[in-house]
Amino acid sequence: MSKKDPFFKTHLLEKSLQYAFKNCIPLVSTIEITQTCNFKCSHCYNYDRTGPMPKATKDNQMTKEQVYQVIDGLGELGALYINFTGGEATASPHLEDYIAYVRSLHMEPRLKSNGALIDKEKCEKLVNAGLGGVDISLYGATEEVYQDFTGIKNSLSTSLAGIDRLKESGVDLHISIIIHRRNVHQLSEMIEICNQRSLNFQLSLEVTDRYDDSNGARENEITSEQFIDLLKGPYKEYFNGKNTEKAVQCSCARSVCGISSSGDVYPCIGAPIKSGNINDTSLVDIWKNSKELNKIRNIKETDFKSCQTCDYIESCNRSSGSVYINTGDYTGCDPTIYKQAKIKHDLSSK
Amino acid sequence: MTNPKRAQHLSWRKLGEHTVILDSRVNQEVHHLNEVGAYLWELCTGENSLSDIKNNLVSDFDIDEGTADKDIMYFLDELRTKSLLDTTEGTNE
Ligand code: SF4
Ligand code: SF4
Repeated sequence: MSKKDPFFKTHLLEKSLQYAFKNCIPLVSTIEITQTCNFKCSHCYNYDRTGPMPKATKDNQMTKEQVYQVIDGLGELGALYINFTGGEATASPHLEDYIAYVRSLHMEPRLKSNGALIDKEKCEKLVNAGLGGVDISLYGATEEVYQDFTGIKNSLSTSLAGIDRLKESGVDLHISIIIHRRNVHQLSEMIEICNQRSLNFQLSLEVTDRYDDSNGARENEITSEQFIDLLKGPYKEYFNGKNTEKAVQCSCARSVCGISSSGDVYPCIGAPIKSGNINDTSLVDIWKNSKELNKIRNIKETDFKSCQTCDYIESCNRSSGSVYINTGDYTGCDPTIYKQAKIKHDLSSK
Repeated sequence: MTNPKRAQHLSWRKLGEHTVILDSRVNQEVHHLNEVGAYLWELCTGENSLSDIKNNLVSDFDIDEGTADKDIMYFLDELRTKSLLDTTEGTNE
């Protein structure tokens, strides 16, 4: 699944996020409700899906009651968006119950999914439970490329069928186009899939190492040559964004929070720094008192030492979570991010 | 008159003295309430009558009944215009 949050940032929402950032309210929170998935994506950050689910991952998944406790805790802390993810969230038999529960607490239940399990009945159940919105990941524009990536036959057509059902239901729907080495040549076709259906989309180049430390996920990362082609190509405006404010800090542990399927609390679902586990301590207690979370909250711009002196900072859109996963250093730099920032900088100054 | 009740499929959060409301039926449209609006919004549960709401407002904000009436009517009109009130259910006053 994509780790990015797809919703529109209206002016009012922007103000709310700023307030939440300042006051450490996890306004946008993500819960992994299962590790099960119907796909076996080669870039999957959970674990190496060519093999079976690791025993510890399987055995330590939160119970339904624990997920309810997490939702209660997030409600108490002031969350507004609750994103359900996985694994494939629609593979959880409890998803509709969780959605209805979030809705009953006046929060906004959203879903990150690959779309392929959303048949007519599932779609109706999700909508009736009060689903507020969905973000579907798109991995290619032909069955061949899709299967190469997901390991599953006909995964494009089943995903598109899910997308069409959700669209028809009227639910707020966004697409995350996941760009990787073997589908980048289909970018215009993937965008066309979205445009034909009048769907909002975002593009993601981000591929990180896996949370289980297995190798191979980053072999999907686009090459420097492919990145240069994107920067010069017909969709260059999507990749040429500037960081004119030289911002390096993320919303981690402030306006966002992530809870893993085993109950580990993270500063963000994309920054797997174990900051406590709900089996030992309540979520509210962890959020307020965890030394890991407080350490992140206290990080200053000047702590990003290499960024402070970096010539490419205005061309860089670093994510501290990704840098942490890939290098173990939250405030550091990652070779791919550096390479891409340099390419962007060099091309724009030509 | 029906007791005012918030529409279904809305989400909201109090952030300081303000309240932000999300309406996912309309592409995640976001509304914002000031302190008095946030206060009134909390009372629109479908269980409070208009006079309950007025009495609360008068005592908590130290304003006269006429002003309270006007504020409440204006607020409810705004909510109706934005389809933020439930028009299907509610008990009668
Ligand atoms: S659909 Fe998501 S959870 Fe499933 S294998 Fe692919 S990336 Fe992993
Ligand atoms: S390229 Fe690396 S050092 Fe430079 S701003 Fe980005 S993350 Fe920091």
